[in-house]
Amino acid sequence: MTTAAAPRNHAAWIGPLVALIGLVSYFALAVKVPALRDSAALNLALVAAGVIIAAWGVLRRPGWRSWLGLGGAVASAVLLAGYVLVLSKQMPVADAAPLVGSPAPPLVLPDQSGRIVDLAGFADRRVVVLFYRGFW
Amino acid sequence: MSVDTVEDNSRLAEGLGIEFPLLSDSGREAIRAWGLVHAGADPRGDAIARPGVFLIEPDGTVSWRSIPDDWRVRLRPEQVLAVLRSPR
Repeated sequence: MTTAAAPRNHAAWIGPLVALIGLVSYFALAVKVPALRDSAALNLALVAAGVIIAAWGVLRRPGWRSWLGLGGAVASAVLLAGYVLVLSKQMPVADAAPLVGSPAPPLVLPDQSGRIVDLAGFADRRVVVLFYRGFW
Repeated sequence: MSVDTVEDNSRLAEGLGIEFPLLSDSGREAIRAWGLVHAGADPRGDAIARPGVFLIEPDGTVSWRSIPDDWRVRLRPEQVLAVLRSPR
């Protein structure tokens, strides 16, 4: 039996490629689209499809290439799922944050031009205060 | 607001055309006072804010808040505007 004449096992490279696209496109593209960013469902579906294709490649034509392909696809799936389902939820509890009905804590900070802004100075209007993680 | 410096915020505000105050909490005083510290989340090991949005009434009380448990999930501008438009 010769393997040289065997048809190429396309699933062994298509599977990990689809999974890699699912992983990379989340950080490159989906994070800019709120609907795709919040649930990450499209990207999770892509990495899952990549794993299924690669697993099919292993079943159809077992060999080191197809196992390597499955390993690559699983690695992309684990990285994406680990980030969106586990890592990004690793935040301390915010039980010290002000509750609805309680007074807002002091907020006196410089704005983008260096001018000091005091929340207490807005007593004539409602104010939305947004805390972001930064590093833009 | 964020823990970014005034210089970083100045560049960002100019780039995005932001006219509302973009505050710099580089001393981490506000995130401590508001209970939104995410310790060690800065690449340099310092604390940053966990995302949170508050609506403050003219009398200084919090009338609405949103503190997501996942840092990927942020409130969208239209969601904040819907809260502002809803009857008090």
